[in-house]
Amino acid sequence: MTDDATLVLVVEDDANIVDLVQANLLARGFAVIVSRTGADAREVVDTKAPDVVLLDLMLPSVDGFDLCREIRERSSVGIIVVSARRGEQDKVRALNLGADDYLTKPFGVDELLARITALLRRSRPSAPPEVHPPVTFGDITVDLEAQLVTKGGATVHLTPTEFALLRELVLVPGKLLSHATLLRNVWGPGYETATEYTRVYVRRLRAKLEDPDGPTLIVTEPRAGYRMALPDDRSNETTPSR
Amino acid sequence: MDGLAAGTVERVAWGSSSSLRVRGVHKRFGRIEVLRGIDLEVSPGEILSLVGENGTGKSTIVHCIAGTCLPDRGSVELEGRSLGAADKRVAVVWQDLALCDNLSVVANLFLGDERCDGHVLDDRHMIAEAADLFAALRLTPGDFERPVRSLSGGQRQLVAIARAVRRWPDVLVLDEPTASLGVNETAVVEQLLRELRTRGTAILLVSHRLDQVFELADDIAVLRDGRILAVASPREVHPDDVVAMMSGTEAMTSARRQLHRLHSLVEQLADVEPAASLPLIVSAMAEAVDVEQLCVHLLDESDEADDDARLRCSATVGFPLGLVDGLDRLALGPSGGPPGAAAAAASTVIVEDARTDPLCASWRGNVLSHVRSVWSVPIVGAMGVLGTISGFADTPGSPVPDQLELVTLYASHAAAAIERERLLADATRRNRMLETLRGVLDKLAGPQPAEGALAVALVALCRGLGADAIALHHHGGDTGVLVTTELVELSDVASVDRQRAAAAEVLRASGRLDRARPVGLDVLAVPIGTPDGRAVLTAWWAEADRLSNDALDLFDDAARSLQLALEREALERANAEAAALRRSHRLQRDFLHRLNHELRTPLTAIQGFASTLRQTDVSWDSSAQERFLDSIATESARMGRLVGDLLDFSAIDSGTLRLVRDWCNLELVLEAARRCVGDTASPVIDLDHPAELPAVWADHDRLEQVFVNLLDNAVRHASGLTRVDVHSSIDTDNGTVTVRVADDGCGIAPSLVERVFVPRERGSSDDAGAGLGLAIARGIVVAHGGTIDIEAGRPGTIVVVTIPIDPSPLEMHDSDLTDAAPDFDIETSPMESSSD
Repeated sequence: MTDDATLVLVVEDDANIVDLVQANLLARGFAVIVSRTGADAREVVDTKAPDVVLLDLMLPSVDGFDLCREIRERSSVGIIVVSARRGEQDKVRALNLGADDYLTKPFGVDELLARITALLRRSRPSAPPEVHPPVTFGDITVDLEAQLVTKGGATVHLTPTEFALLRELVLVPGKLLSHATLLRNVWGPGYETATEYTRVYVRRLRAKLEDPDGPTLIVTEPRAGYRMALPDDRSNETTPSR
Repeated sequence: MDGLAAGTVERVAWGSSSSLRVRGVHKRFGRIEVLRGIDLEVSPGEILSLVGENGTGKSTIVHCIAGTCLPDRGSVELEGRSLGAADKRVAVVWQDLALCDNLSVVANLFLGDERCDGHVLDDRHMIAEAADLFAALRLTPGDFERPVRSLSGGQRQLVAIARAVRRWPDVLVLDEPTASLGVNETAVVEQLLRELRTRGTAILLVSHRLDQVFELADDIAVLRDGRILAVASPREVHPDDVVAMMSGTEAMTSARRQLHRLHSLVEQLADVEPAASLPLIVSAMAEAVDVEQLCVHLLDESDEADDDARLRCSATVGFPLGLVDGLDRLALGPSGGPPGAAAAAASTVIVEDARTDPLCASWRGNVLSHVRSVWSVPIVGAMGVLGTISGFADTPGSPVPDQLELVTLYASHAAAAIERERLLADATRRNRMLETLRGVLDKLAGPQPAEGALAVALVALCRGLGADAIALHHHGGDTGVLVTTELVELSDVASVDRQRAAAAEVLRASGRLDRARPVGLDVLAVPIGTPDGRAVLTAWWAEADRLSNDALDLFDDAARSLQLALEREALERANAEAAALRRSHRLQRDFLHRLNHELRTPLTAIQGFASTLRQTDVSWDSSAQERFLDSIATESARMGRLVGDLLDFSAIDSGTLRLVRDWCNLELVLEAARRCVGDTASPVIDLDHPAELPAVWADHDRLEQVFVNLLDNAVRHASGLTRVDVHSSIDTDNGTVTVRVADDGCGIAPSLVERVFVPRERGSSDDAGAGLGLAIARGIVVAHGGTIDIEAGRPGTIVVVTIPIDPSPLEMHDSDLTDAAPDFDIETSPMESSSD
């Protein structure tokens, strides 16, 4: 494997699925590390710093949800959870625990590759961004170019997906962004109806950025979408009417 | 006493003082003349006791001596001179102690006479003096700084006396000093009085306790009607005489006197030890009436006693051994001799000559050789004749009338004692019964519900009540029909209809719901609220007159306990059900999740490889293509097996599994199973069986499935496995074949043994499968009329499969084995066993 190859950690106990994923990823230039039991997954995340973790929730000796949470606690690596459960409850739970995406078994190779690509695009924007000076909202400063967010001077750690969502909102402050727009722009085509993703991720952003008393930074427009507050240097402008 | 030199010197100084004299004291309160010329003299070192009935003026005399009350006439003198008020040579201990509760012992001792050091109270000095005083009085010092209120009655009395004698008065007057004290405390006070007497104090003791007076006093002055009737030494008079003088009645004969004392003794004894009273009465009576041979017969009221032996000898005095046997049990009536006749007639029977009297005709020779004359006095209690007291003499003749009169008196005491004993015994028995019942009910309501405890409780209650039947009826909700859910009948008479009718009547009657009440003369009923609705507990007596208030109370009590127990039981049951339901739900959910995973994983592989092969951006080499196709085939087969398992399980679970039976060779079945598993398994699978394994009437494919599952399970799930031994044996007696599949792997935890047959449960493993294998194996074996069990091996696990060689003849004529599940009927479905 080359140093600049994208590293994918595959946590999966079924040999044939491992073969399937590994063969396809290797063929497309990814580097792959396999964890059969999940027991060494944390260590791999710490030492090898993979770019993406493909995590099967149903593992023989480890609870997949616990493992997801633990990986998220130690890293902002992109996590795609793989599960046979299709219920929205399981999806929301995985997202809440820090997963960036949720892949339901069975899946085709196209879908798998598309999700990995989308996740990587979030963390590594392919096109160089236009010039964006840092924007300030109260004690929060968002520097899109440096991919840096501070609150009260302290750095706020965001996962690539969280940052991608914040980026969408900050680029057009004061403007209503629909769920579908956000989903398409952040997660990719095909996600337009998965509003649980935006709900979970807006909640995660609020938890990291806003004061607990009430959201003022990201405003919910019921049944429509979200709207970012105006930054400080533009707050004297008239708020666009709804 | 050596250390008390100062005190001794002081004593000598006042020890020489002369007597206290009370001369011709009269005192009148309004129109009542309380004292009519009292003359008393108490010498130093003497205790004069003043006794008299209440209101005869004892306390007035004390007041006159203390100077708190002036006599109308007469005088109180010490050393020949009239006493003034509050003369310090006279100290009085009043009946009410006049101590200050919130002050310490020492403060009370010196109250009004505190020692001062300058203007400051000298506590140290006072405590030292108190200690000296207590030592001189031979009292245990204790803590002088304790507040008096924390002392016991006796200790307070001692403080009061110590305070009175602190200044070593010449005369000490005590008004009922031990009236409120216990035995030990009284003894201390009495000892103190003796001590003071030896120190030369003149003591006037007012007491109503004759035993104390006779014990302590040098002289006794009897006060009656305001006069001193007599002053006598206790050595010269009998207490009874004193009592007689006090009350003005005739002195009793010595026998009566003894009876009187005996009576109080019996009273005291009976309080402590009820069972002791009867023998005590008998022996005391023997002495009092001067009869050498006495015996007491008691009437046996229990149902078991037959009429020929109603009178049971319960106490004897002075009988030679052999004689008692002849009197042990006597009939009620003339055939029972004088005791029998006396008991039957409830009147005294006298036999002047036993050898001629027909009453004694039935007595055997050895009785007659000792006995010439007999008298029998009935013991008559409130409820009738309780027994007899009989006296025997070896000379003919009649007892003297006084003697018989005394015996009659004793008999009434005895009756009282017996009745009290029976009452106590009844109460004790009832309490014990109630306790037992409570115990049973507690068990009923306990964390581990005991099967049948309700019935046991009801039987206990029925016996305890002395009832003939007891029943519990539940109100049938909307229909309004009473259903008898529990019935205990101790007699042959059917009573359920009567009880149910009574229960219905109680339910109809409005009013207080929770009280037991009689319905008619033969039923007690109490409505109780149970978790299943209203219910009535009824008890029925065959004979109406046996229903008592006691039974009503007990019944009421028991019904309440029962209600509580039922409530608690229902609660426990509901909790257990809810827990089982929760567990069952959780298991089902887990099972579905696992099944979902197990089905979707091969599906993912199939779909994934198929889509991989169709990708256009990558061209796979032929070996990779081959591998992908292999995987697709393997995963398809895996899915097929899984789906097959699910269908099998579903068939077993719903009882629709169909076996295609034929005579099959078990050897071939096992061999096929080994080949099926052994191809991929590294451990050795060893088949061992007798030379001639009989053909079994079974479904070959299904049996093979069982052993494939078992071997597969052993090979795949047991870590550390090196070999699997399959051993078959024949049990010709039972017509069965047993196959033991033993592995040397890691084994199964004992707690899991039963649960491995449940589809959702299995040991931790890293391989696929929905965990249906063992459940299906069990289903198939049970469908064959066989059994499958798991034993712990050393090491590893042994699965024991027993199947009948030919189940059909067993079903037809061997009733012993019919509990083996018959063909096609799956009695123990895994689904059911999981919710246990």
